[in-house]
Amino acid sequence: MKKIIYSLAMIILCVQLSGCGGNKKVSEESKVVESFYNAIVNQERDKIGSIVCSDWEKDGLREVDAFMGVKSELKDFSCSVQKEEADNAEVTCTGSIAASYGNEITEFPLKDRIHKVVKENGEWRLCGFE
Amino acid sequence: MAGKVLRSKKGILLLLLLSVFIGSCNAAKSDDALEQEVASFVKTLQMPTGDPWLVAIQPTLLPFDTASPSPILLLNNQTNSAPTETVFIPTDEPTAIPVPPMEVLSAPIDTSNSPTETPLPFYRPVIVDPNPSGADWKSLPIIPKSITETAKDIYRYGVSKMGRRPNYFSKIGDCQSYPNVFMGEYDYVSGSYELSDDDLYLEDAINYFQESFGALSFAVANGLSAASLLTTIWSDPSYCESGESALLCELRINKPSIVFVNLGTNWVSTADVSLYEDYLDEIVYTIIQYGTLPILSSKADNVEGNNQINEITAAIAKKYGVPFFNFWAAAQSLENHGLDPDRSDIYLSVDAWKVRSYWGLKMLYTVGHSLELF
Repeated sequence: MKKIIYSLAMIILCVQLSGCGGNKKVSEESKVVESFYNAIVNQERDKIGSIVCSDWEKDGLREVDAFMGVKSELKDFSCSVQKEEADNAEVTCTGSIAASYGNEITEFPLKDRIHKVVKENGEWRLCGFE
Repeated sequence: MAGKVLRSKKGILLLLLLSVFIGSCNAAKSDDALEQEVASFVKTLQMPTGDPWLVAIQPTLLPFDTASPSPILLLNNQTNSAPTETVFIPTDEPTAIPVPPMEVLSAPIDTSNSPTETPLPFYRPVIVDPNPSGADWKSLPIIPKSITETAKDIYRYGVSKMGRRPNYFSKIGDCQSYPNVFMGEYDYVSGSYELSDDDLYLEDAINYFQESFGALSFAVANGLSAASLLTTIWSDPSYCESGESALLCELRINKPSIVFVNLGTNWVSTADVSLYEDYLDEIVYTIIQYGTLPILSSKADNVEGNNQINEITAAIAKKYGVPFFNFWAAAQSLENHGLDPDRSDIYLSVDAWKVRSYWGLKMLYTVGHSLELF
């Protein structure tokens, strides 16, 4: 009987680790989108080249430049994959960019954006949003 | 049976393992959904006024003789109040779509899914000076004596063929372009002004453009820069279309025939000013394409350290043959050159607001008079 119980316990443990644990993992596709917004709020223009796809680099830099005149931070921010194929994915995010200018804070919600992420030279890159 | 299981050690261990499994598994599986729900709920609680953009870009006009030292403070005083200004939102599309003449470009939009839709008849911006120099910007007059034929052509084309409102001007810029800082004093309802005998002729411009002085622009926001204007995240999602920049949103909704471009103050000193040139060029080109006449203004501050932004602005005005409003020159006679020392010599002093509005009005009169609008 002891053996049965221990076996059962091991099976449950394995199921937990393999099945449930997977949901908590942050995907590479989400990470690249999160990096993009971190680059914006940290005003790291030089990082954009390694985050976005080559076709969208000019637009990506413009997004960073757009927040250069304000101090900003991410608020309640996280991203998750909505749709995934071999070489492309769609990522959405929650939260917002909170930009402060003088005493005024303006929030720029991110929830309605669908980010296109593509695999370029084996790496996931942000390639625009709708 | 249940009692037996609960009473035995093995049974308790089994139940414990099962409950841990069920509990942790549920938590993990609903993690994202739960996070989103909580975030959404918290957000709802944090936004009693609804859309934060309404607060950000639709300030209530305040009396102009206020003693408040800064536009920021003025805006803070009414962050939770509903906007009192009416924003013109046309409900009808232009009834007639003209046949594009030779100088007209088709809009670069994908019409493959709607073959019956006629493309917008964009105006083709004319390069008046392909190699413009703005080096002489300091010596340029505060306002020109008249406007170029190219500038007249842009205005006339926009009004007659693109549905631009002949008596409506708009503004583009940061908080210093809100009506309570720039030209709102000439609004009959919310403003207050006095003209000297020598300036009474300016009433013509005040009457003609009356709808515009107190109006709010979708292209004016705190901290807005040239780059911000071209991105979609800075456009008001309550009014602007998906994928529409703040600039295009203002041009579409308010349909101005003239627009004051008051940019440059929020440029980061460490950034390459050639980027600013690219952005400003794109902004001016786009405005002209939409049949709207841009008036490019110099600024009183020198955040970039070598006044290069004013030089670039003057050069781009020459390039497209559009008016250059040299506010910097007007500010030189003011205390601290029109800048507020308590605000890092970046923002304008209250005295400078009035001077800028006054010269802005004169600029508007010059444009209107050159076009024989009054």
